[in-house]
This record gives sequence, C-alpha cells and structure tokens, in this order.
Amino acid sequence: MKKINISGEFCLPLAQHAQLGENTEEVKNIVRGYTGKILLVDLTSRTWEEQAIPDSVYEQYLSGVGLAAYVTYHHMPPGADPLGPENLLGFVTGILTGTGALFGGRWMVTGKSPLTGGWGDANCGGDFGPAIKQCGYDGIFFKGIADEPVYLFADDEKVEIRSAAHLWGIDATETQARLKAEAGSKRRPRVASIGMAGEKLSLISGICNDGGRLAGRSGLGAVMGSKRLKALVLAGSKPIRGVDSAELKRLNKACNAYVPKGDFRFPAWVFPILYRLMAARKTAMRMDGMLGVAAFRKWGTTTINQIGLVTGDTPVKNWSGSRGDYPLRPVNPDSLLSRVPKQYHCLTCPLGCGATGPGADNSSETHRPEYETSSTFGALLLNKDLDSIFTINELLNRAGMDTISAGAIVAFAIECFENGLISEKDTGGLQLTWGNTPAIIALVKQMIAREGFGDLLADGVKVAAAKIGKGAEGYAMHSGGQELPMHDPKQDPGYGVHYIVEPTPGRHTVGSWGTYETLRLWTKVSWAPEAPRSYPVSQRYEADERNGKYAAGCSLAKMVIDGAGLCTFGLLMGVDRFPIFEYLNAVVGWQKTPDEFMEIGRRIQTLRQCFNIREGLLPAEVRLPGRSIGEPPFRSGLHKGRQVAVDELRRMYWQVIGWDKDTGFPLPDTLQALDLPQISTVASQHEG
Amino acid sequence: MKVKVIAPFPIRGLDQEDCLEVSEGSRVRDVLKGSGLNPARLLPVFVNGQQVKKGHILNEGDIIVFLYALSGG
Repeated sequence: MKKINISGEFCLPLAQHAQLGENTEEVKNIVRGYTGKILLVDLTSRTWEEQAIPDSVYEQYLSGVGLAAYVTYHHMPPGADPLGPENLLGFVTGILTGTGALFGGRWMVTGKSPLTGGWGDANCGGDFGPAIKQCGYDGIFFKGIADEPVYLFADDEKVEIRSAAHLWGIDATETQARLKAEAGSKRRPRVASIGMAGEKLSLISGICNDGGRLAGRSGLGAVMGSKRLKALVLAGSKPIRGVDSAELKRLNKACNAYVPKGDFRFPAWVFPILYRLMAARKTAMRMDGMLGVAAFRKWGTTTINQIGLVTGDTPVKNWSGSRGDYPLRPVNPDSLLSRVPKQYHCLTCPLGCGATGPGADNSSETHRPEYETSSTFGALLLNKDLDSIFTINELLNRAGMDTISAGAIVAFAIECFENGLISEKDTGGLQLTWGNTPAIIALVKQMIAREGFGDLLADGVKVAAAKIGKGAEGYAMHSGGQELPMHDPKQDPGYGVHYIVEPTPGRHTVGSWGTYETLRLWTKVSWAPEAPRSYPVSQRYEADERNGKYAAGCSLAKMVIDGAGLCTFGLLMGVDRFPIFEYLNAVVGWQKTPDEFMEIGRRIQTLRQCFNIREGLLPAEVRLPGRSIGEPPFRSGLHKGRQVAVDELRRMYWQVIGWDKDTGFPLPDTLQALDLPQISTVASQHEG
Repeated sequence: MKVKVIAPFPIRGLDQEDCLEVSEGSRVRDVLKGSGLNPARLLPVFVNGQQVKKGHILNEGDIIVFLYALSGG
C-alpha cells in the first residue's frame, strides 16, 4: 500500500508571497496553490507559448474546470468543429492539486465535446494531476492538428513536441509504459495518453493514465486523436506550496480523524438485506456519507453493486427491466475484491478506493471494474459472467473507451436486435441477445477496432440510432448525446435533474438528493436548506423550491470541487468534516466565505452554460428518455407507478440558479451579478 | 460528556451537531439504547476511525461511526 503524506510542504509566509506580485515574473516555486501560468501549444505550427493568468481570474474562477472554462471561452472561436484545429483541448489541475491537501490529486480534461456538441469535461485521479503543476502550469492547452502523431514532453527546463509515430496503434497502458521508459528524464515521468479508440476518433473515447484510470466522459479522447496528440509526458519537479502550512496541517489532521483505519471483517451481502428491510418504509433517513467511508475503503464504488439492484438505483436490461431480471450474486463486491485484492490510493487520498490484481493472463495487472462498469456490462445487458466484466474492463481501459457509454451502446444494440431492427446480416453474424457473453465481448472488440457493426456503434447511441432509423431512438438511452450512467432517476430524481441541466449532460457525478444530503452544505452555506433527518419518501419526487435548491447546491459545489481539484468522494464526508472552503483559503491566503465560493461555482456553471448556448445548443431541448423517468409508468417492479417531474424540477433549478426558467438562458441580471458582461449579449442574440 | 454519533438509524437524544450527552464510563452499546430493534444495530462500529466492539468504553469527544454502505454513486 502506498504511504500517504498528509502533512504537505509549505515554507513561504504570506508576506513573502505577496512580494511576488501579479504573476508577471517567473515563479519558480508555486506558493499559493496555483502557478499563474498556462501553456498554450499549437500543434499545427509545433510552437508553444506561456501565458500569464492574472490573480483576478483565480479569484473569479478558481482553477481546474473554472480556469478551463474561462480560457476556452476566450480562446476558442464560436462554432469550432470539435474534431477540427480550432477546438481547444485542456489538461488542467485544481488549486489544491498537489499541495498536500487530502483528496487533492485530481486532473481534468476539457474542450468542446464531439459527443454533445457543447462543453465537455472529464475528471480523473491517479498521480498525473500534480505532474501538470510540477511543470509550472495550471493547465496545458492544445489547438491545431499535428502533421504526424506526436506527444508533448515537459519538465522543469523544456517543452518539446516529439514524434509518436512509433506509438500510434498501441494501447494506452502499453503506451504509458513505453513512454516512461523512453522519456530520458531524470525524474520518473507521469503520462496520460489515448488508446486506439481516441486514435480512431470514437466519440465515446477518453484519456487514460496510471494504466487503467480514464477521464472517460464527453468524448475528449477523440479530440486528442483528431489533433494526432498521442500523449503528455510530464517530468517536472517544481514544489507545490500553499500560504498557510500550519492551517493546512491542522485541516488535514482534523479531517483524517474521521477516516476509518485498518481492515474489517463483514460480508458485503448483508447490505442488500438491510436495504431491502429499509426499502419497505415510507420514511427515508437522511444519508450521512461518513457511514459509507469504511465500506468505500474496502470495496470502492463496487460497494453499491448489489445495493443498487435492491433499491432500483441500477438500471436493468437497458432500463426496461426490474430487480427480478438479474441476480445479485455475479456482482458481489467480495467476489470482485477476491480477484483484485491490492488496494491503491490516488495522490494524498486517505481512502484508496482503487484496487488491482493479476490480469487474465497473470502477466499483467488489471484494475477492479468500477460500479458503473460492473453495472453497464452486468445488469444492463443481463450478463452474469463476472470474468467477462473484468475482460471487457481491461479491453476498454487499454483502448481508452468510456465503459459507461460502451455498455449503454451494447445494450442499445441488443435491444435493436431483439426487436428486429437489425439482424445477423447487420451484425456480421453476432447473435446480440440478452446475456450472450461471447457476443458482447466480440461486439466490444469490434467497437474498439471500428470494424464491422462495431464501427456504427463507436460514436454513441445517438449517432447509431440515427443511422439505424426505424425507431431505434426509442432504445437509445442518452441525454444530449451522452449515454446515461447507472443511476436511475426513478429511485433518486435528483439524478434526473442533473442528467439534463448540466452543460455536460448525462453526468452522475454532480448531484442527486443523496449527494446533497452527504455534502451537508447547510452547515456552511447560508442559503442551502437543511435536509431533515427523516422525511417522507414522497418528498423526493416533489418539484418544489427546496429540491431546486438541493440540485443547485450540488451543481455549484461541484464547480468548486473541480476548481479545487478535489475528489468528489472526499466530499462524501460533508463540507463540515472535509472543509473544502477552509482548505482553499489556507492554500491561497484568501478570506472568502462559503457563500462567496458558491458564487464562484455559480459563475463557472453559468459560463459553461453560456458556452453551450454560444455553440447553438438550446438547453430546453435536452430531454430524458421516457424509461428513465417513468413515462409511461412501469406496471410492476420497484419502480411501479413512479414518475419523475423532471421538466418541472429543471425549471426550479434554473430559477434558483438565476437562469430563465423556461429557456435555461442565464438572465441578464445574473450575468451582471457574476461579472460576465461580455457574454450578456449571448442570451439576447438568441432571444432576438 | 459529549460524543458524536453517526448512524443509519435514529439515535435518541442526538442534537443538531450529531452529538449525544452520555455519562462517564458509557459504552458503545449504551448509545444504542432507545434505537429500537433496527437490524442495523448489528453493524460494525468505528470509534475515531478504529473498529471496536460494542462494549468499548467511550471518552469525551469520541466520534462513533457505524459501518454502512451508501446507495447512489
């Protein structure tokens, strides 16, 4: 198990820090979390330049996704082709990334999504995040298209664009291994790369690091592939520091007191039984994320593999099935753990939700499939073969293809086949029936290679449905072009709201009612309503202002989390026990209140929304498939009669956040209040 | 003395800060008094991050967390 240093390294007091001024000079040591610089690379001309970012930008947007939204909005021309030279592909870190703050190891990739046509971002852990900052940059952005496959190398002294012709066609895991060996740097480099899926411009491809972690959503692997950019190899060693080291140590210590230590013996199969007993109640208990931390340490996200099936959170049979269609046993968290028993941590994470173990051939290491992967390639397809889930997980990780989208597409294809929209003639002889494991694996391989029927599917369900026609859209479970994750809004309507309100739609990591309860925003944020300790289950389905505030709270908090570069799972502990706002103040030397940070979150969210509107997307046109919201209502099963008033909930959300409740356009007053005057014309242009 | 209790079932006497007033020498099992026959009472329990038995004696300021598995993602 990796040792975790939770003390951090900080040396400069505030007085010395202030003398550094407005980032106009070379800052050798990063003394307040951010570097104040980005690297802008033009792959067409093979040139690069450093750009100073004023402090005021960090004050208004933090770093991470906020900084990327600011830079992209101002550098990318409107209407850019997502796979063309004008799209700006960003690799960014948050303010807390690498400072020693717990959970501060995240990095994000950003750009215009070829999958949705709007703002795209994806988030990943491992040890790559701090490497960006250690080269002296808060973000590295790419435009243009290289004339041959290349990779970017950067360390403390130099930036180089090197040929990657010998790596084109090589999978992501192998690419990372080869580049680490051949980089020729004093320091062991960190590498992020695409696999074959990104090279072949699959719109559901992502970007990998650490041999099996994927920034998977939004199809940004295809953007990287379109630029012929195979990888980033980063070997910088600049120290990352914060302003108030004593306060940071104190916060780490206080937070760490909540984290369970050591292992425990308790079988995972007990939890579904408990949930079954509780599900019969008409009163819900407020969830406290602390309850799940120990389980999360042991089983990672697979903790909920069986619980999701019992509660109805996990979609079954392409969202048309119910609990009885799929057994619990194949995805038992203990079964997965026994195959991949080696726990690992992302940088400065005290939980360690990742796990690895021997691959199928025993010669390599494979990662534990996450809950999302276990469910998309398990219950969603009625596939009961756990071995195949491991196999597919490894195939997709190496190819750099998003497992959520890939599983949703296979489910779509099976349903098209079962209902006669496609035949063996179309599939090249594959019998695409529910639970047909060999056919599922074969189809995944075809999608990765873009061969046969897999080529048609490799760009997502929306594109595939349009090509197949004959009503195939009815089986395409997506929101705004992005395949839905494995959380059913009929169980927690909060997911449904976020699936359609987010500028990157179809995203499960932003919020739900359960997420709101665990965030405990009401302990810090003045306008956030306290979730009652217990409440009628029916309250979850009400389209009222309270639920609108729950959803807005989750969205804005997520923007702060991504601006800080933190892992969302750390926030399971709640903002009072994992003090994100205090961490940011300690590292940067700010004196901001939680309300002020949430206002920054609103600014980032609003700018992302403006980006989408500028790119021609109309927020009100994003719809959820009927099956996901009970239209028409299910006649049996856990979701019998449940309906989610998602459109009304969305109106509530838009109203709370300060956007037009009918169109989702940010209101002029909101833009003014957020100091976004330069884009105030966006809404009026559309209204005109 | 006060201890903090985080449990997936109702705990009698818990205040807004999740704190509970207990007498000196109280044990984890004393915290469970009045929580009814909820089967979740059988769950493993951690005090200040260390798994303990229900007979564990509590100290001022202890953080008591029951093991549970959260639904959702």
